[in-house]
Amino acid sequence: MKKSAIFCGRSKKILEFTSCVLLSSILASCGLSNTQREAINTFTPAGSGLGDILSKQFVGARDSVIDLNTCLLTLYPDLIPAQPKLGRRLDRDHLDDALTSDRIAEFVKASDLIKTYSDAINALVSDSQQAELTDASKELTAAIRSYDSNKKLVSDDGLTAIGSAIVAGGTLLIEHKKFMALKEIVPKIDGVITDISTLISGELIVNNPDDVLTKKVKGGVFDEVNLTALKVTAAADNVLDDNKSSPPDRQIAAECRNKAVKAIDNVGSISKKLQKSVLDVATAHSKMATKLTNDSIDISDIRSFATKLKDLQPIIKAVSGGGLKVHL
Amino acid sequence: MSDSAQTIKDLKTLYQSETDPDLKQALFHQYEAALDAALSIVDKDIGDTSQQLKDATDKLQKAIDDVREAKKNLADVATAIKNLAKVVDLFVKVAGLVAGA
Repeated sequence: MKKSAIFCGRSKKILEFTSCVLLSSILASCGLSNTQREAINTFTPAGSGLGDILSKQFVGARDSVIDLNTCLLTLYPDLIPAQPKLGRRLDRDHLDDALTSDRIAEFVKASDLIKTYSDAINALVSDSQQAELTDASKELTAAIRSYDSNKKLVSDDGLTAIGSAIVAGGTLLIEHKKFMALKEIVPKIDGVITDISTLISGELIVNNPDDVLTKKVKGGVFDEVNLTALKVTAAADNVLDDNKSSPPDRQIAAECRNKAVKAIDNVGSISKKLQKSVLDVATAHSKMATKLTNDSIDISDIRSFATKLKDLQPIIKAVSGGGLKVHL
Repeated sequence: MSDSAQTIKDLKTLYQSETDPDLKQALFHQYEAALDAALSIVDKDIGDTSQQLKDATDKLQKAIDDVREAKKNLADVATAIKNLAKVVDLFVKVAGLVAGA
């Protein structure tokens, strides 16, 4: 059998196959809708930015408590026991008190994971695989040219069109894969994101000390800073009010009081903003999960899809030799 | 806590307004002890939260792994096209052999 005979027998099939692959890709692919993209684009920068801020706040809170307890130890050594007592961890070797490095590491890890998760979603959504698709398309068109070296089946222009069609079809398939992955993962983890946000948010509240003492509320990291700072303020005031205090002691007391007031102001001023940001991120995630679950397509998605088809129309024509038409 | 002080806030007010040095010192220590008691509760609460957080972050880590895996799988499309190119190449070689036979 001659090689040319094999070409003739397969020629139509190749073109039909390529056209079918392309059209199937277009018709079967259901990528992310515009509203879904909007929801993802709201969540990812918010989650990423917040993760950074939270990590710094938790580490800063621990540093602050250590600094304040060091002040307390200097001003009133008796107030910091040599050994832990009354259920507290605080002693002269553990000035971080409740904010142990292990616990802070858990808070930092949770904050970092929110950032990592947001960044991972952003990376998935942003990955268009254009370079990889272009390479693959070049390999396939080169193989077709090798098969049809006499250009009996497809001209150079036609082959370029096939290459473009492969990239375009591949892009749609990739969008579909992204959508399916996000639809599977995001709604499932939404409850966990809500739980983490609620837990973290609870650590950022500065509660009334009496409400903490009477267990009306749950105490958190910012309460630890606030209560420790209140202790230091009182201790510093005591030294400053005492006529017998020496000038160096007064100076230390004044510096410690300044630190305590700053710590109270700091947690007080950022508490509500941070809580709001944390809860906003959780809300944005829930919105994203709902959008992915409901899978609704609105008019802007249809327009966007029609535009994609319109762009592909000349390519489809070239590939199909005018036999397959898409009417818009 | 002092009998007349119902709350940490009351105790603070009492301690700050006391003029008798000895009584002021006693109230100061009561105030500090009340804050310590509140800090003990905070200690336990933070411990509970950090444990709950640990469980939740394990699940979030799994979701991150899934998202990363999904990103890796995007390469499957390009790989499938490359495999098709290999098939066509193979077909050309086979066709060449058949034609030459």
